[in-house]
Amino acid sequence: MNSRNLPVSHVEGGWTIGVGWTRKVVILASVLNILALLLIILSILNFTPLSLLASVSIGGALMGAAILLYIVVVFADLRRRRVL
Amino acid sequence: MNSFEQSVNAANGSGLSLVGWIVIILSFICIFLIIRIIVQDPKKVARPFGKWLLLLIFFVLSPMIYLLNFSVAVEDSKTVEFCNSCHIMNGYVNDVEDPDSEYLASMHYQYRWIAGDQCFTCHSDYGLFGNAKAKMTGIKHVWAYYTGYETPIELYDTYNNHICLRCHAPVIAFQEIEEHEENASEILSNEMSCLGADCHVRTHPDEAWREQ
Repeated sequence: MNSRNLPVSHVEGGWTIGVGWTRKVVILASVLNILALLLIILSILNFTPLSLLASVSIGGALMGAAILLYIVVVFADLRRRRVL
Repeated sequence: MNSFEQSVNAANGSGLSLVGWIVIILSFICIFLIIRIIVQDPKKVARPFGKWLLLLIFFVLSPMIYLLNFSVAVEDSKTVEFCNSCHIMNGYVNDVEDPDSEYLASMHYQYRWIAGDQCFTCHSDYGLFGNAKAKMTGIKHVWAYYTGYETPIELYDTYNNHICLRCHAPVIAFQEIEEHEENASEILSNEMSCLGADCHVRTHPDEAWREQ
């Protein structure tokens, strides 16, 4: 059986994203990051004080949250592999 | 705008800056890759390639985009057009751009005694901390704009003479005026303002805030 036929949770070298909570966290981090990037694009295309502040403050907070969530997933993966 | 100005603006690229374009293109690439990994092919997330790609997007590309956007925001928020995007500033900017106005700010703008970013140049202190302070004050202004403010609008403090002096102090014509030399200590300590009826004319019309 090659790795293509295996459930995601059993893919060699992968996370247990198919069954665990980490997949949801990665998706959440991705959504937050996409929202932050959209705010940044909006502020560039429609450069007003409000859009600028939104991109720098809310965009920064969303991006920071996405990074933290991804760090959590990376740590969980490393612990699962008994690296940490 | 005359044909000379149009020509200069066209040469300088009056639209989006290069950094702005880079931010937009990188952002779209990141969004496309994230959606492709997460939605179209979720198994990729579990494979080393997908993991590393997301790591690159989250830890390198996205922070880089944020910092580039920050630099664009800092630089582009210095322009007169940006200041004029709050309606309370319309009267001030209209006067500044009026060729018949004899107010000090307008003269500095019309004759290009200040080459660019005229509002920011006269309303920010020296150096990096001056810029940072001006930006913090700008955030305060945006907050006040949406939550309410007292009229007529006024400066928080006495105008800092050093902002005038950073350009005028080295000028021989300025140094040759006796009143400047006689009152040097008062001018330098801000006890005597450069602006006002006794010395230089007012910078903006008193009722400019009404024009919105």
